Amino acid sequence: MEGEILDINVLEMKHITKVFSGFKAVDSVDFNLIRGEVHALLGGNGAGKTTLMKILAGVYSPEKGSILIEGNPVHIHSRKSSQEQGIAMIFQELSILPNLTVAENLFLSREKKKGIQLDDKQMEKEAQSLLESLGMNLSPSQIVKNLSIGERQLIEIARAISSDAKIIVMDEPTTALTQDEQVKLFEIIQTLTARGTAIIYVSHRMDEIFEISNRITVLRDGKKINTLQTHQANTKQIISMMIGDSDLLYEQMESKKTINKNVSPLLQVRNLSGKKFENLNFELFPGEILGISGLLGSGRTEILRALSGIDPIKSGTINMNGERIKLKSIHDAIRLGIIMVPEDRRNEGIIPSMSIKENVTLTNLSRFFPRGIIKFSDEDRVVNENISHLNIRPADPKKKVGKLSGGNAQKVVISRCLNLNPKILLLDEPTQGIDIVAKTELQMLFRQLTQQGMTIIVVSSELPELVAIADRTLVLYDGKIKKVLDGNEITDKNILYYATGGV
Amino acid sequence: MSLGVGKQAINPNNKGNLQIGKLLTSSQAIILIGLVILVFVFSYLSPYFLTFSNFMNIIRQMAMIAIVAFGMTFVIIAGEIDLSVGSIIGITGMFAAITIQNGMDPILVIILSLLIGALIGLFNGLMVVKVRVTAFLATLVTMSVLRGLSLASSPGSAPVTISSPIYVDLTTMNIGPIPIVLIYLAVILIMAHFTLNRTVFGRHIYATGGSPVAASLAGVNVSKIKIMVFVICGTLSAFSGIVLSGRLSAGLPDSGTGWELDAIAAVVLGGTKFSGGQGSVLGTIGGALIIGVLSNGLTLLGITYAYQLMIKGAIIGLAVILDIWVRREEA
Repeated sequence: MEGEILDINVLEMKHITKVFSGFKAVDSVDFNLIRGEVHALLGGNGAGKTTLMKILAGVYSPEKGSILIEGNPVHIHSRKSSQEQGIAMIFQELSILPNLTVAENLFLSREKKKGIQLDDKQMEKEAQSLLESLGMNLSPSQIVKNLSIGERQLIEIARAISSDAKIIVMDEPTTALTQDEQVKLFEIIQTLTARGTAIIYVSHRMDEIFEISNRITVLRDGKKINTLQTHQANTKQIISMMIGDSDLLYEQMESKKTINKNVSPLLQVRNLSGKKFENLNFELFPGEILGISGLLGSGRTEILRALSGIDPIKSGTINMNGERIKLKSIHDAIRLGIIMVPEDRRNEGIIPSMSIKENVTLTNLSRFFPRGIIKFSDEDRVVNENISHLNIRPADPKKKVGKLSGGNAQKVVISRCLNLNPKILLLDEPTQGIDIVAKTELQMLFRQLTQQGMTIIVVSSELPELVAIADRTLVLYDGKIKKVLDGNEITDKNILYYATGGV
Repeated sequence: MSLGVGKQAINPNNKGNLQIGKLLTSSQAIILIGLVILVFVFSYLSPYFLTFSNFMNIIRQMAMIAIVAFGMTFVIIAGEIDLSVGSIIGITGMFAAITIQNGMDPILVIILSLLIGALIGLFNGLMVVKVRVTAFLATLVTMSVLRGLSLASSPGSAPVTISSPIYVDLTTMNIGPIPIVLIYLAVILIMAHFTLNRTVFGRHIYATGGSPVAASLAGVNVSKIKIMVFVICGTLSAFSGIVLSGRLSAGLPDSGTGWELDAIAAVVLGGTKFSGGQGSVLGTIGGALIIGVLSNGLTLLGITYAYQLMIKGAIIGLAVILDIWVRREEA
């Protein structure tokens, strides 16, 4: 594929700067797009990706900078002028009309006419051949309302193509797609690039980017950090670029696994049985991150639920600092400094109708204010510390948590638990469904917390996560501990081997 | 309901409007607008409407519903419902009338009546939390049984007169030009507002209604909170029952019938979300005022009770539809 690409710039954006009320959302960014390439655009929330793309779409006009299409300077001042330059946008919010047919949507605002009448037959015929050429098995006369979100997205893409776009911008196009639809999308992208169309691909998903893109540009805080050839890049390097000065912390994270097992354990679990697990024996050493891995239904979550007092314990004992403890309710666990970040963040973690402030202080409210009356100034201080410590966005204490992104909602739940200053933090799938930047921030946070003396148990089905952060890992099989992996024994291969019942 | 409307009306990016925005995003503003419109319409149609004595009439009428509706606000914010409030009004009125007739000290009667309200609330709460009956059914049962009990408590279900001057004075006297009911109303409103907004308990009520599972995992004692809101609602209903029986100088076995609907309507009109987790007593007082003004105005215009019910129902329906519609827009 590489060799066939002629090095022609279809698009050059030079020194683009966009200021929003004194804040440079995009700061002198250079960006170029070569004919027939897929160019991935990466960055965390607020890095400037969307602003840059909206400038290209004519939604915003930049304060400084110029845009060249095929070498000619152009002035893009509206959506329409952007479209006239052959730029098509596929945003996450779909812009197709549900009550019209597939064909009507494809030809929206450039309908074919016979005299003054609409030429439905001609449109349907052209739509049919367009859909076929993209390998999409849809009838042009179908009403869009009845299609899946994924199919609608594909129609949107077809519309972009049918307008003979030279440049197509796709913003997180796979979010709503099923696995099959994603395969189809990637096939379509390959068909398009072979024809010379250039694609700007905005996404957080590393695996997709490495699969589909030719080059990668990373933005951070409105500035361009670098542009790389995809085959010369690796995930770690890109994440570092997205996050900033993380190299040091990264090294810290990798130079872990120095657990001193000669100290007395913080937690000693003996013959513990409960819902979905039995006869567990393990220790938890102070300051370690203990991973728990196993297949779905192996009892991972249930162990955390038992340790946090949610589910009852059937038999067995738990000693904390050598003393036997009873965990009959969540309140018992909280009193002992044990608290869980649940897996189902939306339903069990956050209270969506409450603000960030009200969420983060919830667990601790009666301890903060033993007289039962809330002092707002104290509460504000706590939430502002939380927001800056965990980098919660937006940094607005009054924002309803239901409106936050997954990563930020999770940071709110974790802040709530950390405000208790727990001795043992139980994390159930803490980074599931979270964008890569927030994920890395959280993983670094967990390491920092253990360095400050906290002890963590983390259940994760993402093996790389356990490999990266766990000091030891219990591998479960069918409710029993199959193997305890230490330090460098924690590898994808080992975990999978024991999790599937290997001896 | 109105929360969303306010948001739609105000451009959030416009900094100059921020202060007004803050006010208007609250449900009270919409209620206020509705109220002003109603007052204008009724003043235009009836010369008696905008007089001081009529205004005091409205206050006396709505105060009792508002006090019940405050209790209902607590219950609904916690994600539950209480249908038994009207029957609690009936049973406490009968209890007070009968015990006073039998020579019990009126102050003691008042204390015992409040206690009965609290105990009925406790029973409702325990049914919901421990027996796990849905609140709708649990309180439907109490509603029916208690109404039966108050009807049976008097031969032929006849009214029982209350002749204690202290009891009647405590509920009907004026302090200067102000009816004492208005003072009760104000005190309870301030206490309820403070509880919901400034106390740990209040925060826990919102958390319980917002997401009971998440609140419980965060360490909120959800069962206790739910029981407490039923107790509060029962006690406030009993208080309203005392005031009503004092005003009538009698216990009526059927008094309070249908009040659960007025109370729920006041809460919903006041912008408290039926799904729980959001709402305020300030909105509820607005909702109660609307219902009070509406009943009073329609009566002054000579519109019969039958038509009043239809008009009230339609207005509540409209508010609910608006609520759903706005929420859909937001999503």
